[in-house]
Amino acid sequence: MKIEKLVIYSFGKHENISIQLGSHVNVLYGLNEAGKTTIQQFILHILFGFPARNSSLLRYEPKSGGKYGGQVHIQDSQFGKCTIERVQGKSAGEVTVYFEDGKQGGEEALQRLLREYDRAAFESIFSFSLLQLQGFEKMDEEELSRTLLASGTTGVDSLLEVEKRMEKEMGELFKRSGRIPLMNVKMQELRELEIELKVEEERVAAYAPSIGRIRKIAEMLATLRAQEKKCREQLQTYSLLQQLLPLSRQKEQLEARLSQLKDVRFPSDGIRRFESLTGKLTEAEAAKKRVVHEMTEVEALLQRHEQPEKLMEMELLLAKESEWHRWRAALVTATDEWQRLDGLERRHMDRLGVKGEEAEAVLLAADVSIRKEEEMHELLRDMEELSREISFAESQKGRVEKEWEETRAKLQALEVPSTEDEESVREWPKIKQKLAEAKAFVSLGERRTNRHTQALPLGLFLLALVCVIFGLVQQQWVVVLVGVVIGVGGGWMYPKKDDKHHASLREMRQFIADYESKELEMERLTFHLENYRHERERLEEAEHTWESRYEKLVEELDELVSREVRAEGAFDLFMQQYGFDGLPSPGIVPELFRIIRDMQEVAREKEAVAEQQKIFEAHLARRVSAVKNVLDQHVASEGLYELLRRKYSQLKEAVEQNKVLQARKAQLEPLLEEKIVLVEAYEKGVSALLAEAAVETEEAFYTAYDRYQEMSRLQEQVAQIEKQLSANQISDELKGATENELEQRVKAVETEMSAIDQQMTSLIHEKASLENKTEQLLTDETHGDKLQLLAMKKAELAALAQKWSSRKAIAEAIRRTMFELKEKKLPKVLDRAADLFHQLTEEKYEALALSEKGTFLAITSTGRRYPIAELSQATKEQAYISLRLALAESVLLSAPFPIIMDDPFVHFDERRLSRMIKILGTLTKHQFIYFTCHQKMKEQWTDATVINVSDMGSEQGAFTL
Amino acid sequence: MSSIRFIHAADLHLDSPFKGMTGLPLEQLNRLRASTFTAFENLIDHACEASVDFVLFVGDIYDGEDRSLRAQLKFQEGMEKLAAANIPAFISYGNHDHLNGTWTRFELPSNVYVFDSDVSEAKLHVGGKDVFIYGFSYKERHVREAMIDRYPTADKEEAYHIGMLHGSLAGDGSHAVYAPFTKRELLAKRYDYWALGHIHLRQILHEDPPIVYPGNIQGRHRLESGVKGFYEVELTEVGASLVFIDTSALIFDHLDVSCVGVHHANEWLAACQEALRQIDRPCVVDLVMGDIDEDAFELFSQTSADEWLEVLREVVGESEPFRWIQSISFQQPVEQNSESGVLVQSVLHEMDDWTDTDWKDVLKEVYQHARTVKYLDVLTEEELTEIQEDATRILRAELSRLK
Repeated sequence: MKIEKLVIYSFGKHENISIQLGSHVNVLYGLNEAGKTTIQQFILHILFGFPARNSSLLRYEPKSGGKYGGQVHIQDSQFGKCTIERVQGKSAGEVTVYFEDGKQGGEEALQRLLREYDRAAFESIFSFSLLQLQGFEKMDEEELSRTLLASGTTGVDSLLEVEKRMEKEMGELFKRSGRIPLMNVKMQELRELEIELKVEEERVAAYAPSIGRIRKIAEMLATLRAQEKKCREQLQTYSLLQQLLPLSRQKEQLEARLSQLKDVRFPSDGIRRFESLTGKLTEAEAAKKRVVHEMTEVEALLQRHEQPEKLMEMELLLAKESEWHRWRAALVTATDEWQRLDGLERRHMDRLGVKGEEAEAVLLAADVSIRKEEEMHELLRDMEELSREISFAESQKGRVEKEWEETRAKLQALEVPSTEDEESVREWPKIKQKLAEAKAFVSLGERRTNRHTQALPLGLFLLALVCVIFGLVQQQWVVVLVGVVIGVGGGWMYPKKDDKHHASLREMRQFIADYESKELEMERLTFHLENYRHERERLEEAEHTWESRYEKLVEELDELVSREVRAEGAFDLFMQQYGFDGLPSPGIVPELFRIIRDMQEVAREKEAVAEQQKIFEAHLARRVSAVKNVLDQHVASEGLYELLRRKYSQLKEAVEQNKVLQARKAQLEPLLEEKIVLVEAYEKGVSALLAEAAVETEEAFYTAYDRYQEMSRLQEQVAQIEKQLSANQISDELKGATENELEQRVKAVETEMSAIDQQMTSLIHEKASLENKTEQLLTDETHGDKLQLLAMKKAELAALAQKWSSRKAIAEAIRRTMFELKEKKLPKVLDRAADLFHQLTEEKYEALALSEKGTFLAITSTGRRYPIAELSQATKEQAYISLRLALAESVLLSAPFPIIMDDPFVHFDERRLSRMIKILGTLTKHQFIYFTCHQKMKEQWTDATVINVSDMGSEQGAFTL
Repeated sequence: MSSIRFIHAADLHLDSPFKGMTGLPLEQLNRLRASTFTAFENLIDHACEASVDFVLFVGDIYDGEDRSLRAQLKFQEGMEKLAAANIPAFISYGNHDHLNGTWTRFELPSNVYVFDSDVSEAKLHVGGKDVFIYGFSYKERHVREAMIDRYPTADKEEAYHIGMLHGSLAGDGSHAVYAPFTKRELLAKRYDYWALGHIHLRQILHEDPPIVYPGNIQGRHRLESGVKGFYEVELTEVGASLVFIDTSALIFDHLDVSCVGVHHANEWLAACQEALRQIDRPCVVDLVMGDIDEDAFELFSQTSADEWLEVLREVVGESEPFRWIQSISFQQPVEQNSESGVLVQSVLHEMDDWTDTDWKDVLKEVYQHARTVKYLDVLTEEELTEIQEDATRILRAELSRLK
């Protein structure tokens, strides 16, 4: 990187100047105060920023007030042509980097351009003054290292601190034989997990053997089951044998018994046949006995006699029974009739009030013909006619008398009108005339006044009111005044009337008021008086009529009474003919006639009935005697026929029975014969059977049968046992086995079975537990979980290890970098510095080295060692410059900056100066900017770009060379 | 048409532990573990539903010596299901489940045909056409012999020929080489389909006839990222058609999170969540922070990556679908940061200069320690890069903290 041009806008004393620089050595010459240091500071300020205001460094703000700042144009091997411009902005100024390709950058770009160098680092290598060189004696190795690293104290310290921190963090992550660091913990976990996993794997490994064992157990179980089955079969055989043993024994016994019963004979079906025969025999004998008995009975009954001839007579009498009963009934009816008639006669007598035999006789002989009755009715009618006429005449008389009485009373009650009334009625027509006139006058007068008395003043008042309101509202006082005037006019008009006319009118009205109410009353009074006169005349006339009629009626009544007395005398005479004294009521006379007639009838009927009674009684007596003859015993009339009937039926029954017995006897005789034959046949049969069974008695027959039965049963049993025995195939070996032997065998088999059973139980248990176990293993995810956990922990460990690795890498890189610097770069720089120093000092000094304390030593060609501090001022400076140049050379690739020197060679003598210039001339890769105030310096550099700073002020920056 | 349909699956690695998971709560871990089974069940269900003609399992059904009884039981149950659906299955065991193992073997139903240690032929008759399947099972853990030589060349034109081979392409050094073969060798057999296994990355080596690695059915660590499953293959007289069926119960993946404009932690969390939304299924994710500018860098420097991760996990929480953030990493800032000085640069340059051997030497204290060597795998190049990146980040953070 080389500075090509400086453009100062305004900086310290400089303003608007531009300085073109050469690519190698530039000498900026100027007298004191020409502004050399200002330019040097300009470069540094532009590159690294304006110093803070409170900094010890000067800011070189323009005194003239121009634009603070400027440009540094550079040519860089990496970035090409760039322009760095810094102007006033924030404290450090506002920087812009213009790249060749047109891009722009800020502080950051500048930083890259300056290879991350800050001002201090830059100054420690690339910029120095005489003053700075003089501090060289204090420089030691560390200082040099720092300088070499070009990053000041902080950088190294930070790195060392980072290294330490990394070491610490690594320590937290891992230690060779630690327990606490994370990785150690993780590894421990992994180890434990592996152990767990191993256990788990072993557990899982048991799966295959378990499955194998399960299969084997299944096989073993199958074998055992087969064995068990066989045993069971054996047991069955044995138990069968045990069951069969008593059977054989039984067979033997049966056969022994059979041999005893060998010759038993018995007719086939003997018992049934025997019993059937004996049964039939008994039956036949019984029947025979019954027939004999019945015969004797029938014969005994037939011994008794009966009289069948009497039966005929009885039948005749019985045929006439209804006659008898009729007679009896008729007799009873006649008796009842007679009694009824007698009672009726007595009642008639009582009703007629007849007492004593004579009176009765009279009545019974009395004439009660129709003619007599008609006579009586005529008498009665006359009497009735008369009494009716009398009562009518009396009632007529009473009515007329009453009417007459009433008329007279009305006449007297009639009101006589007063004289005053009659007077006023006579006066009335005149007054009425006058009243009509008065009414006419009044009605005329009123019509005239009513017309306009009130309409006009009211209109005026309204007009006045309108005017006043209008006036008040419009404030037209004249209108108000007019309103008031009209109002007064209206008020004055109101009370004004016709007084004279009014006085006569009032008089008329008074008159009308007085008579108008009387007008009605007077008219009513007039009407009333007229009525009274009419009524009086009418009543007086009626009274006369009623009086004459009454007198006529009294005459007629007297006539009628005398006729009635005559009629009553005729009737009394008639009644005496029938034994009745005095006159019964005319109403009952016809009834009397009827009763007498009835009574006479009853008496005749009574006689006829008594005649009949006698006839019937004679009939009955004849019949009783007839019955008595037949029955040959005393009989009563009562219950006659019941007795007769009883006797008849008894007799009839006896005759019938005799007939039946005869028939029965005829039947029984052949039956008896038959039974006797039958009994004989049966007896023959029985004896034949007995003969067949070779016995004589019945008892013996049965015994024979029993024995025969037993024999056949035994034979059957034997056959059955033989059948059973032949059904079960029994090995020959066992055929002869005794019970004891069998039992022993059974026991042996049972023992074997229980052993098998035990074995099986234990195997089944084992199998179940194994199945359970394998099942668990199948479903158990522990193994998988653990594997996964292991993988995870491994990953975690790997992560931690990576973390550790990054830290380790950092620490190692830092360590190696530091080592590199100290062990490789530093000696190189020192060698180069020694080389330069050697040249400068004209081979007087051979080398530069570091003491054990870290301070610098200069070694002479003779090998003597001098601490730097002990060298002469110029030599010291030469050593320092050598070191600086060596440093700059060593970092040329990473930091190809120009070297800026502020007159550091002033103490050099001619020869060393020329050597110095020569050396610089060889360092063509570097750009040098040398500020000096010494003329001879300018002259020494023959091929350098020389710039006269003193001229710049006067020529205002247009200075170039 | 006389076509046949079958399933080609390999490398089930049932119940194999998930590697490289850290900090996962146990129940989530269990969920993770169940995923190989879920994937397998998905496979079986698909086979039954699609009613394929047969199923091929080309090795590594179990995860070697670590095979659990449960895994075998589940596999057996799966086979029973296929048996119930009347679907035959063909198994050739691979290096992880070779025949020489001492583990318990579960009895498989009669629909399962297992190839023995030498290449043999299984014949079946599907839809009026003969199908010949060739394969072998690993006799032991390592079969380095080129088994391909033992496969017969197809000679019956009218039949289908399918080869099952668990192994790797000769010369592919990225995996342990087993039963090596070359594409040319496979094609020379004139089979209609080559069903390969062993490589967990799904790939079709050749189109016609297909030579196929279906990959494993469920990713188990971050390197087995993306959707996993198997192929449903239909062979017709004119060619083959392959349909990939996704079985993964959860996927591993990494996501780039752009940190442009991230100044505050909540913005960063939002950016992360936004990125996570790209995967709409259960997943385990590595987040890579990219586009880190100065502000973002400033933010991330405030605390350690572990803490950021913890914060993020808390925020993502137990939302559905289940998303687990396995790690977060930070890409180097686009522009070299200004914070570090020359000294830091030289320290960083120091690391840059280290060779693998140097690295091993530097880290041997842990990685070659007698006790750790058992648990720690050899660091891969990627891991070394990660370590270096991490170191750079820490160094910067530390220095900026000290400033």
